[in-house]
Amino acid sequence: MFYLCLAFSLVWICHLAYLLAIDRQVRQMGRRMKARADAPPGPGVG
Amino acid sequence: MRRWFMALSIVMLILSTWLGLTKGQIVPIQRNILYVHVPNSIGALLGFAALLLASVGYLVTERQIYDWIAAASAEVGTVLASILNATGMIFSRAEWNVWWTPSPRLISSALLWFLYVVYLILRTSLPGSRRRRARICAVFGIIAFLDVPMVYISARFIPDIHRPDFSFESSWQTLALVLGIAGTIALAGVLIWLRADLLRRRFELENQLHN
Amino acid sequence: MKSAWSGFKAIVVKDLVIELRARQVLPTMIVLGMLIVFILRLVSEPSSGRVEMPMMAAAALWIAFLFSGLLAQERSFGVEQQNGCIDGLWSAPLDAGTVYLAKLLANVVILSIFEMVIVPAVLLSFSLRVTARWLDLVIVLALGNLGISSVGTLFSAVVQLTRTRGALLSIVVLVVLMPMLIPASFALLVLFGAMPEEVAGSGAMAFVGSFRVAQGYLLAFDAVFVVACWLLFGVVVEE
Repeated sequence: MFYLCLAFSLVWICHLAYLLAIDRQVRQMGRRMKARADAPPGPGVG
Repeated sequence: MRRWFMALSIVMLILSTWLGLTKGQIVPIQRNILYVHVPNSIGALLGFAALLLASVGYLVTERQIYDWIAAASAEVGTVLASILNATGMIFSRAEWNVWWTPSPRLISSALLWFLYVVYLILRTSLPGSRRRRARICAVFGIIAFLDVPMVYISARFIPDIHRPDFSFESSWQTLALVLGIAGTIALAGVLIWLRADLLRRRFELENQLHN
Repeated sequence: MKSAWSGFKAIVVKDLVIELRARQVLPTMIVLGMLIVFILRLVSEPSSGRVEMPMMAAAALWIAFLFSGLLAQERSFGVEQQNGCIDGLWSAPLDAGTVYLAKLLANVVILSIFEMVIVPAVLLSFSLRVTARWLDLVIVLALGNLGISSVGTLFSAVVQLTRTRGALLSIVVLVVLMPMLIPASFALLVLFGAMPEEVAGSGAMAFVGSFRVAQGYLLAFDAVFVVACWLLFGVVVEE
Protein backbone atom coordinates (compact mmCIF):
# COMPACT_ATOMS: atom_id res chain seq x y z
CA MET A 1 0.00 0.00 0.00
CA PHE A 2 2.83 2.35 0.89
CA TYR A 3 4.59 1.67 -2.41
CA LEU A 4 1.35 2.11 -4.32
CA CYS A 5 0.76 5.54 -2.81
CA LEU A 6 4.38 6.44 -3.41
CA ALA A 7 4.21 5.51 -7.11
CA PHE A 8 0.90 7.24 -7.81
CA SER A 9 1.75 10.42 -5.99
CA LEU A 10 5.15 10.54 -7.70
CA VAL A 11 3.61 10.22 -11.14
CA TRP A 12 0.95 12.83 -10.52
CA ILE A 13 3.37 15.29 -8.97
CA CYS A 14 5.84 14.91 -11.85
CA HIS A 15 3.18 15.31 -14.53
CA LEU A 16 1.56 18.31 -12.92
CA ALA A 17 4.82 20.00 -12.03
CA TYR A 18 6.09 19.70 -15.58
CA LEU A 19 2.78 20.88 -16.99
CA LEU A 20 2.70 23.90 -14.69
CA ALA A 21 6.33 24.74 -15.44
CA ILE A 22 5.70 24.79 -19.16
CA ASP A 23 2.45 26.66 -18.74
CA ARG A 24 4.25 29.35 -16.82
CA GLN A 25 6.90 29.62 -19.50
CA VAL A 26 4.22 29.99 -22.14
CA ARG A 27 2.49 32.74 -20.18
CA GLN A 28 5.76 34.54 -19.63
CA MET A 29 6.54 34.37 -23.31
CA GLY A 30 3.09 35.70 -24.12
CA ARG A 31 3.67 38.64 -21.77
CA ARG A 32 7.00 39.41 -23.38
CA MET A 33 5.51 39.32 -26.86
CA LYS A 34 2.71 41.61 -25.75
CA ALA A 35 5.06 44.07 -24.06
CA ARG A 36 7.17 44.14 -27.19
CA ALA A 37 4.14 44.85 -29.34
CA ASP A 38 2.98 47.65 -27.04
CA ALA A 39 6.38 49.27 -26.52
CA PRO A 40 7.20 52.28 -28.68
CA PRO A 41 9.89 51.54 -31.25
CA GLY A 42 13.26 52.91 -30.34
CA PRO A 43 16.81 51.96 -29.48
CA GLY A 44 17.60 49.68 -26.62
CA VAL A 45 14.35 47.79 -26.49
CA GLY A 46 15.14 44.36 -25.17
CA MET B 1 -7.84 23.73 -29.11
CA ARG B 2 -4.66 23.06 -27.22
CA ARG B 3 -6.36 23.85 -23.95
CA TRP B 4 -9.13 21.37 -24.73
CA PHE B 5 -6.61 18.70 -25.57
CA MET B 6 -4.79 19.29 -22.32
CA ALA B 7 -8.00 19.14 -20.32
CA LEU B 8 -9.00 15.96 -22.14
CA SER B 9 -5.72 14.25 -21.31
CA ILE B 10 -5.96 15.25 -17.66
CA VAL B 11 -9.52 13.97 -17.46
CA MET B 12 -8.48 10.67 -19.00
CA LEU B 13 -5.62 10.33 -16.53
CA ILE B 14 -7.87 11.10 -13.57
CA LEU B 15 -10.46 8.60 -14.81
CA SER B 16 -7.76 6.00 -15.27
CA THR B 17 -6.44 6.47 -11.76
CA TRP B 18 -9.92 6.45 -10.27
CA LEU B 19 -11.06 3.36 -12.18
CA GLY B 20 -7.78 1.60 -11.52
CA LEU B 21 -8.06 2.17 -7.80
CA THR B 22 -11.75 1.34 -7.44
CA LYS B 23 -13.54 -0.89 -9.94
CA GLY B 24 -10.51 -2.21 -11.73
CA GLN B 25 -8.36 -2.93 -8.74
CA ILE B 26 -5.82 -5.70 -9.16
CA VAL B 27 -5.59 -8.09 -6.28
CA PRO B 28 -2.15 -7.82 -4.71
CA ILE B 29 -2.57 -4.13 -4.22
CA GLN B 30 0.91 -2.98 -5.20
CA ARG B 31 0.34 -4.30 -8.72
CA ASN B 32 -1.91 -1.33 -9.39
CA ILE B 33 1.30 0.60 -10.03
CA LEU B 34 1.01 -0.95 -13.46
CA TYR B 35 -1.66 1.62 -14.31
CA VAL B 36 0.91 4.40 -14.22
CA HIS B 37 4.03 2.43 -15.11
CA VAL B 38 2.91 0.98 -18.43
CA PRO B 39 1.49 4.23 -19.91
CA ASN B 40 4.66 6.10 -19.04
CA SER B 41 6.89 3.43 -20.54
CA ILE B 42 4.90 3.54 -23.78
CA GLY B 43 5.06 7.32 -23.72
CA ALA B 44 8.82 7.31 -23.22
CA LEU B 45 9.31 4.94 -26.15
CA LEU B 46 7.01 6.97 -28.39
CA GLY B 47 8.94 10.06 -27.37
CA PHE B 48 12.08 8.43 -28.67
CA ALA B 49 10.32 7.52 -31.89
CA ALA B 50 9.27 11.18 -32.22
CA LEU B 51 12.86 12.22 -31.58
CA LEU B 52 14.07 9.87 -34.31
CA LEU B 53 11.46 11.01 -36.82
CA ALA B 54 12.19 14.66 -36.11
CA SER B 55 15.94 14.05 -36.43
CA VAL B 56 15.55 12.32 -39.78
CA GLY B 57 13.12 15.01 -40.85
CA TYR B 58 15.62 17.70 -39.99
CA LEU B 59 18.48 16.05 -41.87
CA VAL B 60 16.29 15.55 -44.94
CA THR B 61 14.53 18.91 -45.11
CA GLU B 62 16.70 21.23 -42.97
CA ARG B 63 13.53 22.88 -41.68
CA GLN B 64 13.87 24.27 -38.20
CA ILE B 65 10.52 23.13 -36.95
CA TYR B 66 11.90 19.59 -36.88
CA ASP B 67 14.75 20.66 -34.65
CA TRP B 68 12.32 22.24 -32.21
CA ILE B 69 10.18 19.12 -32.20
CA ALA B 70 13.26 16.99 -31.53
CA ALA B 71 14.29 19.19 -28.60
CA ALA B 72 10.76 19.20 -27.20
CA SER B 73 10.29 15.45 -27.47
CA ALA B 74 13.67 14.86 -25.83
CA GLU B 75 12.62 16.97 -22.86
CA VAL B 76 9.21 15.38 -22.50
CA GLY B 77 10.78 11.97 -23.04
CA THR B 78 13.22 12.63 -20.22
CA VAL B 79 10.36 13.32 -17.84
CA LEU B 80 8.47 10.22 -18.92
CA ALA B 81 11.58 8.03 -18.78
CA SER B 82 12.35 9.28 -15.29
CA ILE B 83 8.84 8.38 -14.17
CA LEU B 84 9.14 5.04 -15.94
CA ASN B 85 12.32 4.14 -14.09
CA ALA B 86 11.10 5.47 -10.74
CA THR B 87 7.78 3.62 -10.82
CA GLY B 88 9.56 0.54 -12.15
CA MET B 89 11.91 0.59 -9.20
CA ILE B 90 9.07 1.05 -6.75
CA PHE B 91 7.14 -1.80 -8.34
CA SER B 92 10.19 -4.04 -8.31
CA ARG B 93 10.77 -3.31 -4.65
CA ALA B 94 7.14 -4.00 -3.75
CA GLU B 95 6.89 -7.16 -5.84
CA TRP B 96 10.33 -8.79 -5.67
CA ASN B 97 11.91 -6.93 -2.76
CA VAL B 98 14.82 -5.53 -4.79
CA TRP B 99 15.11 -2.00 -6.10
CA TRP B 100 17.06 -2.84 -9.20
CA THR B 101 18.56 -5.84 -10.91
CA PRO B 102 20.41 -6.09 -14.23
CA SER B 103 17.72 -7.76 -16.27
CA PRO B 104 17.37 -6.88 -19.97
CA ARG B 105 14.24 -4.79 -19.56
CA LEU B 106 15.55 -2.80 -16.65
CA ILE B 107 18.86 -2.21 -18.42
CA SER B 108 17.10 -0.98 -21.52
CA SER B 109 14.84 1.33 -19.54
CA ALA B 110 17.86 2.79 -17.78
CA LEU B 111 19.62 3.11 -21.14
CA LEU B 112 16.65 5.00 -22.54
CA TRP B 113 16.91 7.50 -19.69
CA PHE B 114 20.67 7.88 -20.16
CA LEU B 115 20.26 8.47 -23.89
CA TYR B 116 17.69 11.20 -23.30
CA VAL B 117 19.82 12.93 -20.67
CA VAL B 118 22.99 12.82 -22.76
CA TYR B 119 21.02 14.18 -25.70
CA LEU B 120 19.92 17.15 -23.63
CA ILE B 121 23.44 17.79 -22.31
CA LEU B 122 24.86 17.55 -25.83
CA ARG B 123 22.24 20.00 -26.99
CA THR B 124 23.10 22.66 -24.45
CA SER B 125 26.87 22.41 -24.83
CA LEU B 126 27.41 22.67 -28.58
CA PRO B 127 28.80 25.97 -29.84
CA GLY B 128 28.62 27.34 -33.35
CA SER B 129 25.76 28.07 -35.66
CA ARG B 130 22.23 26.97 -34.94
CA ARG B 131 22.20 24.79 -38.05
CA ARG B 132 25.37 22.96 -37.05
CA ARG B 133 23.99 22.27 -33.59
CA ALA B 134 20.73 21.01 -34.96
CA ARG B 135 22.52 18.74 -37.41
CA ILE B 136 24.80 17.24 -34.76
CA CYS B 137 21.90 16.63 -32.41
CA ALA B 138 20.00 14.94 -35.20
CA VAL B 139 22.97 12.67 -35.86
CA PHE B 140 23.19 11.77 -32.19
CA GLY B 141 19.46 11.09 -32.14
CA ILE B 142 19.80 8.64 -35.02
CA ILE B 143 22.88 6.88 -33.65
CA ALA B 144 21.33 6.67 -30.21
CA PHE B 145 18.24 5.11 -31.73
CA LEU B 146 20.41 2.33 -33.18
CA ASP B 147 20.84 1.14 -29.60
CA VAL B 148 17.16 1.02 -28.85
CA PRO B 149 15.96 -1.74 -31.19
CA MET B 150 19.02 -3.83 -30.41
CA VAL B 151 18.16 -3.93 -26.75
CA TYR B 152 14.53 -3.03 -26.39
CA ILE B 153 12.83 -4.95 -29.13
CA SER B 154 14.91 -8.07 -28.75
CA ALA B 155 14.33 -7.99 -25.00
CA ARG B 156 10.65 -8.50 -25.69
CA PHE B 157 11.20 -12.05 -26.86
CA ILE B 158 13.39 -13.19 -24.00
CA PRO B 159 12.09 -14.69 -20.77
CA ASP B 160 12.65 -12.15 -18.07
CA ILE B 161 11.95 -11.39 -14.44
CA HIS B 162 9.90 -8.55 -15.83
CA ARG B 163 6.42 -9.75 -16.80
CA PRO B 164 4.41 -11.03 -13.93
CA ASP B 165 1.94 -13.67 -15.06
CA PHE B 166 -1.02 -11.51 -15.14
CA SER B 167 -4.17 -11.18 -17.16
CA PHE B 168 -6.99 -8.76 -16.91
CA GLU B 169 -10.06 -10.20 -15.25
CA SER B 170 -12.56 -7.46 -15.90
CA SER B 171 -13.02 -5.00 -18.70
CA TRP B 172 -12.79 -2.21 -16.11
CA GLN B 173 -9.13 -3.03 -15.75
CA THR B 174 -8.56 -2.94 -19.48
CA LEU B 175 -10.45 0.33 -19.66
CA ALA B 176 -8.35 1.87 -16.90
CA LEU B 177 -5.13 0.88 -18.60
CA VAL B 178 -6.27 2.03 -22.03
CA LEU B 179 -7.42 5.36 -20.59
CA GLY B 180 -4.08 5.72 -18.88
CA ILE B 181 -2.16 5.02 -22.07
CA ALA B 182 -4.32 7.36 -24.14
CA GLY B 183 -4.13 10.08 -21.50
CA THR B 184 -0.37 9.86 -21.19
CA ILE B 185 0.16 9.93 -24.94
CA ALA B 186 -2.20 12.91 -25.26
CA LEU B 187 -0.46 14.71 -22.43
CA ALA B 188 2.97 14.03 -23.95
CA GLY B 189 1.72 15.24 -27.32
CA VAL B 190 0.40 18.47 -25.84
CA LEU B 191 3.60 19.03 -23.90
CA ILE B 192 5.77 18.48 -26.99
CA TRP B 193 3.53 20.84 -28.92
CA LEU B 194 3.75 23.55 -26.24
CA ARG B 195 7.48 23.19 -25.83
CA ALA B 196 8.20 23.27 -29.57
CA ASP B 197 5.99 26.31 -29.90
CA LEU B 198 7.85 27.99 -27.08
CA LEU B 199 11.19 27.32 -28.76
CA ARG B 200 9.86 28.74 -32.00
CA ARG B 201 8.66 31.93 -30.31
CA ARG B 202 11.92 32.34 -28.47
CA PHE B 203 13.74 32.02 -31.77
CA GLU B 204 11.52 34.68 -33.35
CA LEU B 205 12.07 36.99 -30.41
CA GLU B 206 15.84 36.59 -30.70
CA ASN B 207 15.65 37.28 -34.40
CA GLN B 208 13.76 40.51 -33.71
CA LEU B 209 16.42 41.54 -31.25
CA HIS B 210 19.21 40.99 -33.72
CA ASN B 211 17.54 43.01 -36.45
CA MET C 1 39.33 6.02 -56.57
CA LYS C 2 43.11 6.10 -56.70
CA SER C 3 43.30 9.55 -55.16
CA ALA C 4 40.85 8.57 -52.43
CA TRP C 5 43.10 5.64 -51.56
CA SER C 6 46.26 7.73 -51.49
CA GLY C 7 44.53 10.40 -49.41
CA PHE C 8 43.29 7.74 -47.01
CA LYS C 9 46.81 6.34 -46.72
CA ALA C 10 48.29 9.80 -46.23
CA ILE C 11 45.99 10.62 -43.31
CA VAL C 12 46.60 7.30 -41.58
CA VAL C 13 50.37 7.55 -41.99
CA LYS C 14 50.37 11.19 -40.89
CA ASP C 15 48.44 10.41 -37.69
CA LEU C 16 50.59 7.44 -36.80
CA VAL C 17 53.85 9.23 -37.53
CA ILE C 18 52.77 12.19 -35.39
CA GLU C 19 51.93 9.79 -32.59
CA LEU C 20 55.17 7.84 -32.84
CA ARG C 21 57.42 10.91 -33.15
CA ALA C 22 55.80 13.18 -30.61
CA ARG C 23 54.36 10.45 -28.35
CA GLN C 24 51.47 12.68 -27.47
CA VAL C 25 48.92 10.27 -26.12
CA LEU C 26 50.13 6.67 -26.03
CA PRO C 27 52.21 6.99 -22.85
CA THR C 28 49.31 8.71 -21.09
CA MET C 29 46.91 6.03 -22.27
CA ILE C 30 49.15 3.23 -21.10
CA VAL C 31 49.75 4.77 -17.69
CA LEU C 32 46.04 5.49 -17.22
CA GLY C 33 45.18 1.93 -18.22
CA MET C 34 47.75 0.46 -15.86
CA LEU C 35 46.52 2.66 -13.03
CA ILE C 36 42.97 1.42 -13.58
CA VAL C 37 44.15 -2.18 -13.59
CA PHE C 38 46.27 -1.54 -10.52
CA ILE C 39 43.41 0.01 -8.57
CA LEU C 40 41.00 -2.80 -9.42
CA ARG C 41 43.65 -5.34 -8.50
CA LEU C 42 44.11 -3.64 -5.14
CA VAL C 43 40.41 -3.87 -4.46
CA SER C 44 40.16 -7.57 -5.32
CA GLU C 45 42.04 -8.98 -2.39
CA PRO C 46 41.55 -12.77 -2.34
CA SER C 47 42.03 -13.11 1.40
CA SER C 48 38.94 -11.02 2.06
CA GLY C 49 36.64 -13.86 1.12
CA ARG C 50 34.84 -14.54 -2.12
CA VAL C 51 36.29 -12.37 -4.83
CA GLU C 52 35.86 -13.36 -8.42
CA MET C 53 39.24 -12.52 -9.93
CA PRO C 54 38.12 -13.18 -13.52
CA MET C 55 35.17 -10.82 -13.06
CA MET C 56 37.38 -8.04 -11.79
CA ALA C 57 39.81 -8.70 -14.64
CA ALA C 58 37.06 -8.37 -17.25
CA ALA C 59 35.88 -5.16 -15.64
CA ALA C 60 39.42 -3.80 -15.48
CA LEU C 61 40.06 -4.60 -19.13
CA TRP C 62 36.93 -2.93 -20.50
CA ILE C 63 37.17 0.11 -18.25
CA ALA C 64 40.81 0.59 -19.23
CA PHE C 65 39.94 0.27 -22.94
CA LEU C 66 37.03 2.67 -22.75
CA PHE C 67 38.79 5.44 -20.87
CA SER C 68 42.16 5.17 -22.57
CA GLY C 69 40.37 4.91 -25.90
CA LEU C 70 38.59 8.17 -25.10
CA LEU C 71 41.97 9.85 -24.70
CA ALA C 72 43.08 8.67 -28.12
CA GLN C 73 39.82 9.65 -29.77
CA GLU C 74 39.73 13.10 -28.28
CA ARG C 75 43.27 13.61 -29.55
CA SER C 76 42.28 12.37 -32.99
CA PHE C 77 40.65 15.63 -34.06
CA GLY C 78 42.13 17.69 -31.25
CA VAL C 79 45.52 17.49 -32.94
CA GLU C 80 44.00 19.10 -36.05
CA GLN C 81 42.86 22.21 -34.20
CA GLN C 82 46.33 23.73 -33.91
CA ASN C 83 47.53 25.97 -36.74
CA GLY C 84 44.27 25.48 -38.58
CA CYS C 85 45.20 21.98 -39.73
CA ILE C 86 41.51 21.12 -39.76
CA ASP C 87 40.94 23.52 -42.66
CA GLY C 88 43.69 21.78 -44.61
CA LEU C 89 42.03 18.46 -43.90
CA TRP C 90 38.63 19.61 -45.17
CA SER C 91 40.09 21.32 -48.23
CA ALA C 92 41.76 18.07 -49.32
CA PRO C 93 40.06 16.48 -52.32
CA LEU C 94 38.52 13.72 -50.23
CA ASP C 95 34.97 13.09 -49.16
CA ALA C 96 34.23 13.19 -45.46
CA GLY C 97 33.60 9.43 -45.28
CA THR C 98 37.16 8.71 -46.40
CA VAL C 99 38.56 11.08 -43.80
CA TYR C 100 36.44 9.31 -41.20
CA LEU C 101 37.69 5.87 -42.20
CA ALA C 102 41.30 7.02 -42.16
CA LYS C 103 40.94 8.57 -38.71
CA LEU C 104 39.16 5.42 -37.54
CA LEU C 105 41.99 3.20 -38.76
CA ALA C 106 44.60 5.36 -37.04
CA ASN C 107 42.62 5.18 -33.78
CA VAL C 108 42.22 1.42 -34.07
CA VAL C 109 45.96 1.02 -34.56
CA ILE C 110 46.78 3.21 -31.56
CA LEU C 111 44.29 1.38 -29.37
CA SER C 112 45.72 -1.95 -30.56
CA ILE C 113 49.21 -0.91 -29.49
CA PHE C 114 47.70 0.00 -26.12
CA GLU C 115 46.00 -3.40 -25.91
CA MET C 116 49.29 -5.19 -26.54
CA VAL C 117 50.64 -3.64 -23.36
CA ILE C 118 47.57 -3.72 -21.16
CA VAL C 119 46.27 -7.24 -21.87
CA PRO C 120 49.43 -8.97 -20.64
CA ALA C 121 49.40 -6.66 -17.64
CA VAL C 122 45.86 -7.75 -16.76
CA LEU C 123 46.55 -11.43 -17.38
CA LEU C 124 49.66 -11.34 -15.22
CA SER C 125 48.35 -9.28 -12.35
CA PHE C 126 45.09 -11.21 -12.07
CA SER C 127 46.95 -14.51 -12.71
CA LEU C 128 44.68 -15.73 -15.50
CA ARG C 129 45.45 -18.36 -18.11
CA VAL C 130 43.94 -18.05 -21.55
CA THR C 131 46.62 -19.80 -23.60
CA ALA C 132 44.16 -22.37 -24.93
CA ARG C 133 41.85 -19.73 -26.39
CA TRP C 134 44.17 -16.89 -27.27
CA LEU C 135 42.68 -16.57 -30.75
CA ASP C 136 39.16 -16.08 -29.36
CA LEU C 137 40.54 -13.45 -26.98
CA VAL C 138 42.22 -11.60 -29.84
CA ILE C 139 39.00 -11.65 -31.87
CA VAL C 140 36.88 -10.34 -29.00
CA LEU C 141 39.38 -7.58 -28.22
CA ALA C 142 39.64 -6.58 -31.87
CA LEU C 143 35.86 -6.38 -32.23
CA GLY C 144 35.59 -4.33 -29.06
CA ASN C 145 38.39 -2.07 -30.26
CA LEU C 146 36.61 -1.38 -33.55
CA GLY C 147 33.31 -0.62 -31.84
CA ILE C 148 34.83 1.73 -29.29
CA SER C 149 36.86 3.57 -31.92
CA SER C 150 34.05 3.93 -34.44
CA VAL C 151 31.71 5.87 -32.18
CA GLY C 152 34.57 7.79 -30.56
CA THR C 153 36.02 8.98 -33.85
CA LEU C 154 32.70 10.36 -35.05
CA PHE C 155 32.01 12.32 -31.89
CA SER C 156 35.63 13.47 -31.57
CA ALA C 157 34.97 15.74 -34.53
CA VAL C 158 31.78 16.99 -32.88
CA VAL C 159 33.10 17.99 -29.49
CA GLN C 160 36.23 19.84 -30.53
CA LEU C 161 34.91 23.39 -30.24
CA THR C 162 32.97 22.87 -27.02
CA ARG C 163 34.18 24.05 -23.65
CA THR C 164 34.11 20.60 -22.06
CA ARG C 165 35.64 18.51 -24.84
CA GLY C 166 36.75 15.36 -23.07
CA ALA C 167 33.92 15.27 -20.55
CA LEU C 168 31.26 15.66 -23.23
CA LEU C 169 32.96 13.06 -25.45
CA SER C 170 33.08 10.59 -22.58
CA ILE C 171 29.37 10.68 -21.77
CA VAL C 172 28.30 10.65 -25.41
CA VAL C 173 30.53 7.71 -26.31
CA LEU C 174 29.88 5.69 -23.17
CA VAL C 175 26.10 5.95 -23.44
CA VAL C 176 26.12 4.85 -27.06
CA LEU C 177 28.47 1.96 -26.32
CA MET C 178 26.59 0.75 -23.24
CA PRO C 179 24.57 -1.98 -25.01
CA MET C 180 27.68 -3.28 -26.74
CA LEU C 181 29.39 -3.80 -23.43
CA ILE C 182 26.92 -6.51 -22.41
CA PRO C 183 28.07 -9.08 -25.01
CA ALA C 184 31.61 -7.75 -24.67
CA SER C 185 31.76 -8.50 -20.97
CA PHE C 186 29.98 -11.81 -21.53
CA ALA C 187 32.70 -12.89 -23.94
CA LEU C 188 35.52 -11.90 -21.61
CA LEU C 189 33.87 -13.60 -18.63
CA VAL C 190 33.65 -16.85 -20.62
CA LEU C 191 37.26 -16.57 -21.77
CA PHE C 192 38.51 -15.89 -18.26
CA GLY C 193 36.56 -18.86 -16.93
CA ALA C 194 34.12 -16.94 -14.75
CA MET C 195 31.11 -18.19 -16.65
CA PRO C 196 30.10 -21.31 -18.55
CA GLU C 197 30.01 -21.29 -22.33
CA GLU C 198 26.23 -21.02 -22.33
CA VAL C 199 24.04 -19.34 -19.77
CA ALA C 200 20.32 -19.82 -19.28
CA GLY C 201 18.03 -17.92 -16.96
CA SER C 202 16.68 -14.41 -16.83
CA GLY C 203 19.56 -11.98 -16.35
CA ALA C 204 21.26 -9.75 -18.86
CA MET C 205 23.96 -12.35 -19.41
CA ALA C 206 21.39 -15.04 -20.15
CA PHE C 207 19.97 -12.61 -22.64
CA VAL C 208 23.23 -12.90 -24.59
CA GLY C 209 23.13 -16.68 -24.24
CA SER C 210 26.36 -18.20 -25.48
CA PHE C 211 29.88 -17.22 -26.44
CA ARG C 212 29.27 -17.51 -30.18
CA VAL C 213 26.17 -15.35 -29.91
CA ALA C 214 28.16 -12.77 -27.97
CA GLN C 215 30.70 -12.64 -30.78
CA GLY C 216 27.87 -12.29 -33.25
CA TYR C 217 26.41 -9.37 -31.30
CA LEU C 218 29.80 -7.67 -31.21
CA LEU C 219 30.16 -8.11 -34.94
CA ALA C 220 26.66 -6.74 -35.53
CA PHE C 221 27.27 -3.69 -33.33
CA ASP C 222 30.58 -3.02 -35.10
CA ALA C 223 29.03 -3.27 -38.54
CA VAL C 224 26.08 -1.03 -37.66
CA PHE C 225 28.19 1.59 -35.88
CA VAL C 226 30.90 1.77 -38.55
CA VAL C 227 28.44 2.06 -41.40
CA ALA C 228 26.20 4.57 -39.61
CA CYS C 229 29.12 6.75 -38.49
CA TRP C 230 30.70 6.60 -41.95
CA LEU C 231 27.45 7.75 -43.55
CA LEU C 232 26.69 10.46 -40.99
CA PHE C 233 30.19 11.88 -40.63
CA GLY C 234 29.74 14.24 -43.56
CA VAL C 235 26.61 15.69 -41.99
CA VAL C 236 28.39 16.34 -38.72
CA VAL C 237 31.44 18.17 -40.04
CA GLU C 238 29.71 20.27 -42.68
CA GLU C 239 29.81 23.91 -41.61
